This record gives sequence, structure tokens and C-alpha cells, in this order.
Amino acid sequence: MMLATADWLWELDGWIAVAAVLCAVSASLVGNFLVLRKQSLLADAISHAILPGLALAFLWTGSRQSLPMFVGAALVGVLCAVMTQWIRDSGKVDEGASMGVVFTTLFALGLVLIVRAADRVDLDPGCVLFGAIELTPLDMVSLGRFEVPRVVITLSVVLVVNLLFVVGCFKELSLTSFDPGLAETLGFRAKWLHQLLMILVAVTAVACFESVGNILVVAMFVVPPATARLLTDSLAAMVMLSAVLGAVAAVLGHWAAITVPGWFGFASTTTAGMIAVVSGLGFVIALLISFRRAASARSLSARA
Amino acid sequence: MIEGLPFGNVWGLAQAANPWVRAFGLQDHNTRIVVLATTLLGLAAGGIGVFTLLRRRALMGDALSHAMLPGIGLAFLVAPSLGLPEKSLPVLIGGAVISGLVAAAAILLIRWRTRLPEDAALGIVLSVFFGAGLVILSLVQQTSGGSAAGLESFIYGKTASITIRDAGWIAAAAVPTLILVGVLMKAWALVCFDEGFARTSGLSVGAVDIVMMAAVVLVIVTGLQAVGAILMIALLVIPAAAARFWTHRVDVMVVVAAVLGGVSCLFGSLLSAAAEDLPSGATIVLVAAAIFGFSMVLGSQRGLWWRLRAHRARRERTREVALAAQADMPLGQRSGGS
Amino acid sequence: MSDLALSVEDLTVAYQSEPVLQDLSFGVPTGSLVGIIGPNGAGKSTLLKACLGLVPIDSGEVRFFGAAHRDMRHRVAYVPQRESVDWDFPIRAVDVVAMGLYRQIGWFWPVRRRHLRAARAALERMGILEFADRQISQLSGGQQQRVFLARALVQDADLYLMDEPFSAVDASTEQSVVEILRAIQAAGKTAIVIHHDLQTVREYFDRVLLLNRRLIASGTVGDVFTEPNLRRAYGGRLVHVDRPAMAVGWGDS
Repeated sequence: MMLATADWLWELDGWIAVAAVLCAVSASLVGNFLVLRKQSLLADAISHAILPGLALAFLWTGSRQSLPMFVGAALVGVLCAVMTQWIRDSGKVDEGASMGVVFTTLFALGLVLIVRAADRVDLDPGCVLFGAIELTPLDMVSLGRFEVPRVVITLSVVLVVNLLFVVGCFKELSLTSFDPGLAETLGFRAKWLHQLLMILVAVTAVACFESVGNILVVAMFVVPPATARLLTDSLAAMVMLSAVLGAVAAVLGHWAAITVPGWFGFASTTTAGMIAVVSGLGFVIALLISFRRAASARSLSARA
Repeated sequence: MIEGLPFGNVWGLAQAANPWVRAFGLQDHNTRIVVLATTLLGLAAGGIGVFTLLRRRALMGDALSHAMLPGIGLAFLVAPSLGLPEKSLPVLIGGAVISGLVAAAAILLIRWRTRLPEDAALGIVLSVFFGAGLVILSLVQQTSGGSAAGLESFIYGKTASITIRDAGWIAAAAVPTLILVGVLMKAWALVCFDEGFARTSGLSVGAVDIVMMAAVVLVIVTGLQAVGAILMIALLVIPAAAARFWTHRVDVMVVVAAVLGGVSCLFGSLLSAAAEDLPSGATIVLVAAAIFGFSMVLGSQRGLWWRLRAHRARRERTREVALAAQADMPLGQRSGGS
Repeated sequence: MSDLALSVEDLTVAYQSEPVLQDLSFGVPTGSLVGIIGPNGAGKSTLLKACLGLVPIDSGEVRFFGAAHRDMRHRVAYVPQRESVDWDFPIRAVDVVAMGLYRQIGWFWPVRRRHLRAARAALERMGILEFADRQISQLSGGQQQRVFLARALVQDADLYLMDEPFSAVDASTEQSVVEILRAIQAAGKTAIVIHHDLQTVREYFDRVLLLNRRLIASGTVGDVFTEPNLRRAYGGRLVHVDRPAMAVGWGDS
């Protein structure tokens, strides 16, 4: 049997992999704090809720220009987080449920907007689900002497912002994630930090969903940090490990997407889906390692 | 039934003289099926949703419904080799049930065996399974020349074109689910309220959780191919959350949630049948959301309005008491008046 | 050995390879009131939970009335820590008490009027009948504790395991808990109670179990509740012993 590697074309696959890595690393950087605050599903909620933002921005401007859509989507994403908090606090509703109420409602609203304006709007709901990372190299802009995909530029900016945020606020983030009450009494503005985190999650989700779709972006937010959490107890190590894991999964995922289906006589498959699958496999491996570790620790303590 | 109109063409009907009368009078056979099927689904999802909410697993439905995609993709792949049509409904449902149950098992495994919080487990299973589903579906499309595209209706639903067969499947899942909710209400409530006490009473919490998840999987599976994932999630979460504003008792809450779910579906599907360009799944969600908003403000037990008034009254009383104390008046004299 | 309500042998419990309880062995005679005493983190709650099978045990054996807990469930009632449940849950006080009857009613059968009558009777015995129809979050801490005790009472068990029933309750609740303990003992039954206030140990209990990850001592109050044993249990950190004394002193003034 031939396990051939498909031809990796640097000018195409290289850029796709770069975009995937940028998505994965920026998402997993902020994703760590979602996982630690038990708010992983906020990524899911926000990425669903941006649909009406896209639709409204589109109806407003009548074009598919990226900036208004980006802003509209990010605003609705933040609105989703704020409304979730408000319903949770003032209605005493379980956080998961208030998330569910808000994001399904916003999603339905977006759907109605799109359907009602179907004759004017050429917004493909399918694109929201899959993302279009394969089309990355088709939309180039020139940056000085270089031709760079537009998506790569956007994602690089987001990555830098997230990196600055995580490095700059690391101490505060770890404290507020660990013990929000203590943080508040020490004078840290836990609430402001939280809002900032929500804004960055929304911006990251919006920047990434164009490439990997609104559901698979959850895989990038949650899976690498959760995998890292199984392997380490130190927050700094967890953050760095999650970024590395995300990047590796992104590259391997794209490689697998163009290679693995060939083994079974298919053409290539979706890169975003494959990245999620590879991240999932990584999580399973980490799970097995942590089980083994627990078992050996147990037998050690039994001997002691 | 109105003769001469194409089956399933609700939009065509809307152009007739008075679509509202036609829709709300249930004059159209198709509307009747849609209304019946979604209302049944709303009743069952509302009832079981109470327990996923109280178990703090409201978004379990979110994870499980997305996690059914790989099973559906595999069903497309497998059905032809069994000599069945590609979109054979029993095979699809079988595939979705299997992948839903595997996902539920994965969530419980992560929950029981690691220190990760439950929401992380849900997020992992949701996104990884969905990714695998996308991969499988993209392969399916290569074999079948794109005829298997079911993804968008999987997410967004195709409620307006529910067939009598879909309705049959929904009834087959909804009725047993409602019976199960009635029979297991006590055990489920105890596990949700006080797990330790439940276990010392000899109740197997694992078994209780598994039965609950299996029931959720069953409801989602039958609803999924009819109304789509987003509506399914909404029906599991919103009526239950709204019902909490009206009562302090689990048994009452189950009834209220089921009724609210049913009513949302009834009005939502009627509205979308009557009005132009209102997709039924999304309309149902929006009706449910409106009911939720109303309950949150005016719900008799926890509505914001009443809580605000009680809060004001308390403040008023405290001030009176303070004033009375200032006037050196014994407090007991005033207690009767308030 | 059937005169022992609870017997524990070589019990070891570990959380993630960290031992919480090590090689515990003791017996509790039927008809006694036992206080479990020890500093924070001594594993008091874990001991009760391990006995009831709520946390996995690494080694050792626990027997209730000479048999495994599985076969003695109907004779053992458990009052968990108040913090362990969701007090925001949509349920009335009387329904919580009726939970104690669920085993008797059967899991698939509805709660009937006579069961609710029994639950109300237990609430009346605890002096909080007037709150029977309130949602539990509307009760004060002491009232919530009494609801838990009422739930244990309707179980009509022979052995009661209580996790800090005296923590953060008002004086009148404390008094009625003590009365219930006396009534349990008067009926020839047994209670094992996790307790914090060293000042009241002599008054409330006739036996004591001193614990700090290992068993320090177990026996009658007169034999075991001594200065040297306390010092061993609290590791010389006598501040723990002094603090309740101060609290009582303030309470008296």
C-alpha cells in the first residue's frame, strides 16, 4: 500500500497552514482562561451569536466589505457575553442556560434577517459553518513588496493583541481565574478584566470563523487548553503548551486533510474539520497519559 | 386540505386571500402536520429540559446535537452498501443515536476521570465530533456527487417541510420521553438536588445520568432531522429556564416547561405558516425567547418586577422601623400595620 | 460483634495519591452519641463519606451492624453538610423531607398524601412546620439545617451520620439539634456527629473520636477528651482549642 504524501505546495498550503496556526494560537491563548473560568462554552455561544451581526452589517452597508462585518459581528459577540451575564445575575438563571437562551435567540434572529433579505443578501449560511480556509491564498493584498493573504494580516493583528493581553495581564488573569472574590478584595478590577477577555474572545471568534467556521473555532478555543491542563499544573506552562499544541494540530490537520483521504481513494477533505479531529486525537493521547500517571502515582503511594 | 396547491408550499398559501385565517384555522394539511409534530417535540423537550437545567447541564443538548453529525455522515456512507437508499431515515437515526451515545459517554468519561470542568468536556466533544462529521460529510459528497448535502438543514432545520413520517418518528420519541419524565421525576430531582443523599439512599447516580442522557439523545435525534440543531438546543433550554420563574416546585416546573415548549412551537409554526419569509425553526426560537423575556420580568415566583417590588417594600419597612425607633416607639405596635 | 453500630478497620483513603485518612480502626457501640473532633483538613467529612461509599476507599473495611452498607441502607441515615446541596433548587421544605421516604415509597411511585403527612410531622418535631411550603432558599441557615434533620428523622434509621449539624446555626436550632440527639439516644439508637466546638463536647456527647488523618483516640469522653490527646490531634496549635472558648466567652457577656 502506498501511503503517499500529497504534494504540499508552499505558495498554497503554506499560507493555509500559516492562517490555521494563527487562528489556533490566538484562540488557545485566550481559551485557557475560558477553560479555567468554566466558561468554555461561551466561545460556542459567541461564535453562534455573531450571525445577526454579520447580517445587520451586510444589510446596513449593502456590501460584503470586511471591516463593517467584522465590527458588527464582534459587537454582537460582546453583546451575547453581556446578555448572558445579565440574565445569569439578575434572573438567577444557571450560566449554561442563560448562554443557551441568548445564543439560540441571536442565531434565530440572524437567520430571520438573512431569509427576509434573501433577495438582496448573498450571505451563504453554509459558509458560516464551514469557514473557507482553503480559499486563504486566493485573497491576497500587497504589503510593501510582499503579497500576503488578507486573512493572515487580520489574524496576525489578533494574535499580537491576544499575546500582549495574556503576557501583560498574566498575573491578574491567573488571580481572577483562580479566585475572583480575592481579586476583587485586593483591588483588582476583576470585572473589567473579564469584560476585556470577553471582547477579545469575540474578536478572536470573528477573526477565526471566516477561516474555520463558527463551530470548529470552539475546538481551537477549548481543546488545546484542556489538553494542556491534563498535562501540567502550572498556569504558565499550560498557556505555552496550549499554544504549541494548537499550532501543531493546525499544521498536522491541514497535512492530514490533503493527505489522509488519498489513502482511501478520496480527494482532499476539509482542513478545518481535520484540525478539530487532530486536536481531539491529541486530547485522547493526553487523557491516556494522565490516566497512566494517576495509576503509577497510586501504586507508588500504595507502596509507600 | 386545499386542493391543487403543491404539497409543502406554505409560501404559496401565504399569497392566498387571508393566509392568517388559513394558517391559524389549520386548514392546510401540511400546516397541521408541522404544528402537531413541533408541538409534540416542544412538550417533550421542555419536560426533559427541566432536568438537564437542574443538573446544570443545560448545554448538554448543544453538545449532543452537534456531536451527532459524524453518525449522520456515516449513515450516508453505509446505507447504500446495505442496499438502502442513501437518505434512509432509519439508518440516519441509527447513526445519529450511536454517535450521540458515544458523545454522551465521552462527556461522562471526561467528567468522571479528569479534573476538567464539565463545560470543557462539552466544548471538546461538541467541536471535535462536529469536525469529524464535517470531514466525513465532505467525503460523502465526493462519492455521491454532492447529493447528500444535509448539513445546512442539519443546523438550520427544514421545519416547514416536515412529512407525516417525520411526525411519526417525533411522536415515537416524544411520548415515551414524557412518560419517562413522569416516572423518573423523583429520582432525577433527588440526584439533581443532593447527589450524596441520593447515593446513600441506594440510587445509582451513574445509571440515572445515563438514562437522562439517553432520553435527551432520543429527543434530539428525532427532532434534529426535522427542525435542526439550533431549534433543538433552544427547545431544551429556553422553556425550562422560563418555567423556573413561575414556580418553586419541580413537578410544577416540568408541567410549565412542557406547556411553554408546546405553546412556543404551536405559535411559532403557525406564525411562520401565515407570514411570508419567516423560517419556522427560527420563528419558534424567537417565540420561545419572547416567552422567556416575559417570564423573566413577570414570572410569579422570581420575576424581576416582583423581586424589585419586594426589595422596595423591604427598604420601606426598614426605614419605617428606623423611624419608629427614632420616635422611641415600641416596634411591636407597628408590626400589625405593615 | 453485632453490638457495634459501626466498625471500621484499617481504613485508608487517598485523593489523587495524597493520603487523607490512614489506617483508621475503631468501633462505635450501639446506643452511643459520638462526636468526631479534629482540626480543619483532618478528614472528618471524608471519614463519613468513605463509610457511606461516597468517596472510594483505597483499603480497609467498613461494616454497619456487622454488614456492608449496601445491605444496611435502610438502617443508616446521612445528614450532609449544608453547603453540599443547591439551595436554589425549586423544591419546598416538605418535599425535601419526603426524600427521606423515597426508598420506602419506591423510586417509580409517586409521593402520596400520607407520606407528606409524615414529612410534616417531622417538620413539626423540628419546630418548623410553618415553613413546610416555603421554597428552601427562603429559609434561614438554622431552618435549613432542621429540614435536613427532619429528612433524616423520617428515615427512621438506627444510625445517624451527621456532617456538622451545628455549623453556623442559631442558638435555638442548636438546642433542638441537641434535643433530637438525646431523643435518638433515648430510643436506643446511635448518632455520629462531626463537631467543631470543643466547649460543648462534654455536654453533648458520651463518646469522642479524635482525628487528624490518623486516629488519635477513640473512646468515652472521660477517657479520651483530655488535654494531651487534644494537643496531639491539633498538633500543638492550641489556638484552635482557645478560639471556641473565646467565642463562648463573648456569647456569655
